Amino acid sequence: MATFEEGYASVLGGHLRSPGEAGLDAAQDLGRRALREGLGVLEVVVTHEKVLAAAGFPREPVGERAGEEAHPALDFLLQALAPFDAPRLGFKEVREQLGFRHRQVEQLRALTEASFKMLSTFDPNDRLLLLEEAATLSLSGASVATAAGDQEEQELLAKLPPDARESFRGFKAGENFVRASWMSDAGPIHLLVARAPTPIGAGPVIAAWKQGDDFSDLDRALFRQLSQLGSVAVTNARLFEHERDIAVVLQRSLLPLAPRGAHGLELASCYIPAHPGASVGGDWFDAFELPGDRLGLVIGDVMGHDVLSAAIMGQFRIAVRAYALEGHSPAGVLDRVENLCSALVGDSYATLLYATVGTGGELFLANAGHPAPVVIGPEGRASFLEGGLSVPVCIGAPAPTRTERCALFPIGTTLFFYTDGLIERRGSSLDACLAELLNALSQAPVPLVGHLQAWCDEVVASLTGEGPEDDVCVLAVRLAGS
Amino acid sequence: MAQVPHTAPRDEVRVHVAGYEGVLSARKAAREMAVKLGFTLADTTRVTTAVSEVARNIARFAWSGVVVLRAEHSHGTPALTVEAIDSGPGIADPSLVVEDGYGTADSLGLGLSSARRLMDEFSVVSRAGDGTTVKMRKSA
Ligand SMILES: Nc1ncnc2c1ncn2[C@@H]1O[C@H](COP(=O)(O)OP(=O)(O)OP(=O)(O)O)[C@@H](O)[C@H]1O
Ligand SMILES: [Mg+2]
Repeated sequence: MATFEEGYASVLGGHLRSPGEAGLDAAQDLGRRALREGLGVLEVVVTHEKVLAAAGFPREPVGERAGEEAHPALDFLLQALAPFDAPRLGFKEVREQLGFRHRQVEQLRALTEASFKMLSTFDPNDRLLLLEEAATLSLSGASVATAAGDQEEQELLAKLPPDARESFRGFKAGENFVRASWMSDAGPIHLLVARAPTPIGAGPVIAAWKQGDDFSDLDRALFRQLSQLGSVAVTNARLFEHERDIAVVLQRSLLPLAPRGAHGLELASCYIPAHPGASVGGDWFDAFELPGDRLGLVIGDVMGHDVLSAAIMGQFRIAVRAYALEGHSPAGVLDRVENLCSALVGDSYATLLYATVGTGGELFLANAGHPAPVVIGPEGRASFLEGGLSVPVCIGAPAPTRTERCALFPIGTTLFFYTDGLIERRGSSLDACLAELLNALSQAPVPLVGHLQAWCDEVVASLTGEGPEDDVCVLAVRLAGS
Repeated sequence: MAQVPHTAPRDEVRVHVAGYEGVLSARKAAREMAVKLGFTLADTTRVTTAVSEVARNIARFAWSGVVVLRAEHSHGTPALTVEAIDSGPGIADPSLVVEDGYGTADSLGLGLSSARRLMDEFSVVSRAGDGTTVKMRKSA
C-alpha cells in the first residue's frame, strides 16, 4: 500500500490536472485515512505543502469569497482537513458534558456534606436551618424555605413568592410533592414543594423556587432527597429531644437536695457529676432530721457511672432513708438495706456510710466499705475517723456482720464525708491520695460559723482542680453548739 | 446523474443517489448551493463534507435514495437544509449511530457523528427494515 504522502501526491496531482468533486471526495477520504492512521492536522498540511512544492505548482491567490476564481489546491486541502473538524467540535461537546458532570458532582457533594452536618446537631431547629442551607447550596440559583409545625403553612406562604398560593393549596390536599411553573411579571417562575412522610410523623415542608430556566432532573431528584433527609433528621431530632426531656426529669428527681441543718448542727454539701452530659451518677448523700435533736447523715457510692448506677442509687437512697427514719441504729439500717436491696440491684453493689450525730457531739456510725470520713478538730487538726467498718452492701457475701463505732466530739468539730471521686488521682496510690486529702484539710482554715458551705466549696475546688475524673459527693457537718 | 432541478421549486435541488456518481452529484449540488447562499469557504467545505457522509451511507447501506437540498431564509439569515432519504434496511437504534465509533467492522463509524457536528441541526429517523431519513441544517 502506498504511503500517505504517495497517496496524497497521486490524488492531488489528479485533482490539479482536472479539478472536480471526484478529486475532492478522494481528498476527504485522505483526511479520514489520516485520522485512522493517527496523523494530525499538522502532518496533513506539511504533506500538502511538500507535494505542491515537489510538483512545482504555482501558489493560488485566495481571498474569502473567492467567488468564481478557481483554487483547486486550497479546496483540496480544506476537504482533506474537514474530517478533523468534527473531532474538534466533538471535543467542545465533551467539555460541555464534563462541565455539567462537574456541576452534578458539586451538587451531590453538597448533599452529602449536608447530611453529615445535619447529623452533628440534635436541635431540630438547627437541623432545619442546615437543611435550608444545603438546599440553597445544591440547587444553585434557587431560593429555599422550610417550615415545620402548626404554623408551617403561614410561615411558608410568607416566604414564598406572592403568586405561589395556588400551588401550595394543591400541596395541602395531601400531596407530598408539588411542581409548578407560572408566568410572573419578571418572567417564568418554577416552584418545588415537598414533604416526606416518616414512620414517626410528618416532616418539615421544604420549598425551592427560581426564575428563568426550570429545575433540571437532577435538581428535582436532589430536592426530593433533601426533603427525605430533612424529614428524617428533623423528626428524629424531635424524638430525641422528647426522650432527653424525660431522661432529664428522671435524673433530676434522683439528684440530692441541699440538706437543711438542725438546731446546733450546720450542714454543707457538694455534688459534681463526672460527665457533663449526665447530671447524675452513682454517688449520693442524704441528710435528714431524726428525733432527739439528731441528724441522719448518709454518703454512698454505687458501682459504675452510668444511668443504671444512677437508678440503683435512687433505690439505695430511699431504702436507707426509710430504715433510718424508722429509728434503727446505723448497723441495723445497713443490715436491712442489705436485705431489701440484694434482690433489687442485680450484680450491682455499693459502699455506704450511715451516721447519726446529735447536737451534743455524740456520733454513731456504720461504714460498709466506704472511705473513712475526716474529723477536723476545733483547732483545725484533721484525722481519719476509722472504725465501724464492714464490707460493702450487696456484694453477695452471706449475711455480713455489721459493726458500729460511737464517738463524742467537742463543739467546733467538723465531720467531712466524701466519695472516692474527691481523692482518686490517676497514677497515685490510694495512700498517697488519702494523705493529700488529710493534708489539704489540715491546711485549710477552720470553717467560720455560718460559712461551712463556702469552706466546703473551696476545699473541693482545691482538691478537684480542673474537673474530677469521677463523680464527687461531699457532705460536711459542723457542731456549732447552741 | 439524476439532478432534476426543473421539476422542483427554484430553491430546492433533489439528487438521486445510487452509487459513487450520486455521491459526487450530491456534493456538487451542496457546494453550489452553499456558495450561492454566501457560506464561507470553510463552512462550504463543512456542508459538502456532511452531505458527502450521508450520501455515502445511502450508496453503501441502502443502495439508492435521494438527497434533497433546500435554500432557506429565516429572519434574513440564509440556511441550507438537507434531507437524505432512502428506503433501505434502516437503522435499529438511531440514537447510537450518531455517537462516535458506531460503524461497521471496517469503517471508522465517524460519518454520522461528523455530519451531526459539522451542521447546526441534525436528526435521524429510521426503523429497522423501513428506510432512513437524515435531516440536517446549517445557517450561513
Ligand atoms: N442510510 C443508512 N441505511 C442503513 N444503515 C445506515 C445508514 N446510514 C448509516 N447506517 C448505519 O449506521 C452506522 C454508522 O454510520 P456512520 O456513517 O456513522 O459510520 P460508517 O458508515 O460505518 O463509517 P464511516 O462513515 O466512518 O466510514 C453504519 O455502520 C450503518 O450500520
Ligand atoms: Mg458512513
